[in-house]
Amino acid sequence: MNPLYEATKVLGFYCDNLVLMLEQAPENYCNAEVKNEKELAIIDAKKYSAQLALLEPFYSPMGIKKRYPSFQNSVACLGRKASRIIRNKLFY
Amino acid sequence: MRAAQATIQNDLVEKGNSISLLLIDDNPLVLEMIKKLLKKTHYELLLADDPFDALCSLVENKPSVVFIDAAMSKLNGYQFCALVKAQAKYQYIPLVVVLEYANKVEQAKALAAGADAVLVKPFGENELLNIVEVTGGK
Repeated sequence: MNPLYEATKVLGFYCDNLVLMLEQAPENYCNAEVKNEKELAIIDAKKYSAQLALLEPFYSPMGIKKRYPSFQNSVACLGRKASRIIRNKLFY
Repeated sequence: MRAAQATIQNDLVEKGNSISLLLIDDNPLVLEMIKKLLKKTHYELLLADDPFDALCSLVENKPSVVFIDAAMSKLNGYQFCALVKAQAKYQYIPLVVVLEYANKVEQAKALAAGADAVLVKPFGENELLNIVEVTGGK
């Protein structure tokens, strides 16, 4: 097997999972009952979006961008949505 | 032996570049062992027990040399090399694949995947320093 092909597949699954967890992060924040859990949800969301941004050079020329034509936009939107929800919950 | 190591280290320091090594192994004990081996050197050590965290660290820190264990569960050393060398932006970073035992097939596989050098376990401080000199002290 071609190691690049295999690596692309593995990285694809990993990034898919990161996107799912990022999508889940605002809900985790809203469902958290303890302050500590809310803080953890914020930390997780930041971690996932930072990882996706750093991994971008490795997935962009390969299959992932084909599967998600607006992948970066989706991530940016999710990030904005998450921070908006979190901000609203924090200050209002 | 000690004198040779000191000379290599001095040469690297004299080049005026701070040398950073990214060590990737999903076994924290191996990372700890390498850390101890290189305790007396001036290298900045970046440790990663997860290959995806390691990719992030590579992008963030642009290390001078990367040591990758060949047999990692999530993303093995060959796959890691192939991913990095596929990106023109990071092709210049020397990658050293660490093998469990000397095996010509595995060595060839590592080099074909894009590794710049291969290191076989068990290795000592001197072998590590030599490989850093050859690959990263350019």
